[in-house]
Amino acid sequence: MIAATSLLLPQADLVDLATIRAFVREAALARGMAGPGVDDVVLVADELATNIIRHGYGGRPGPVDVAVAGDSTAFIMTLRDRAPEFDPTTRPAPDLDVPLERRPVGGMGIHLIRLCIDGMEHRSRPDGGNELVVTLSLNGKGDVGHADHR
Amino acid sequence: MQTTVERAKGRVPVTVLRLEGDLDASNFEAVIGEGRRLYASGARDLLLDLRAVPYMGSSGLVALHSLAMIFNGKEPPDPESGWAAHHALEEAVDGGLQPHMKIVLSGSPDSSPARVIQRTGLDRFIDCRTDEAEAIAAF
Repeated sequence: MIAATSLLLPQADLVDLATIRAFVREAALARGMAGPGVDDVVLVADELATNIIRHGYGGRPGPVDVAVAGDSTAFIMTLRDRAPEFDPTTRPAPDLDVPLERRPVGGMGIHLIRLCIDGMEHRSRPDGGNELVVTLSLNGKGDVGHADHR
Repeated sequence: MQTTVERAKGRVPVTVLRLEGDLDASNFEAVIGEGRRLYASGARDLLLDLRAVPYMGSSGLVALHSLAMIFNGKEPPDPESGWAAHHALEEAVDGGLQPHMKIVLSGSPDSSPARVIQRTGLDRFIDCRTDEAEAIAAF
């Protein structure tokens, strides 16, 4: 069977996180990814979708679409929502030279995301909502992403 | 997420809370609630078994922080507090391993809980082991 390239959840709730993780895992495996890299893709999808539902929609159900693409060098994941506009790439990056226990308040999720991704772009959707495009290199994590936690 | 509670006898009575299934934003608060109920019923030393947890993200970390605080007699942090939870736990245990909660992980360093715990440095505050009997004896 050909792996799906998009998952449309018109009323995504927190219980749908498992569906999102399963979809992304299957897509990564179908593109030849293996090992911890697959787990990183799943982790990023889960953290971003959790942010959308918990913070963007205030814990209430709302539309979340996940699309995947890529080639032999990168796995690209796009998440779209109808939540109020929020551009995580404008948030300042934490100083990673500061020891873990002395970093400022906020964002365990963002720390985990940053360890996995190579880049992230945000676009405001013309008819409302957000589009996040996340790139994960298949040749090893570059740790230069710009994601941030809501 | 399925939870099972068992009692074990080491040097002190140990309550073993076994989780089975993904630990994510949909259920981490239920795990914290289970910890509160156990503490309220008299449990004082907790071994959290994560060997059957295939996936854990930052919501799971909040649960671990919270359980550690509860079993050290402290109020758990706000779920949104992020690194502040790290700070609170560190202050509660004066910078070392807190004594009343341990975690047992699968032997694979690539398991999702093991990677997340290692990547956030939580193992500096919570004793994580792969041998259950050894963990119980270490309380």
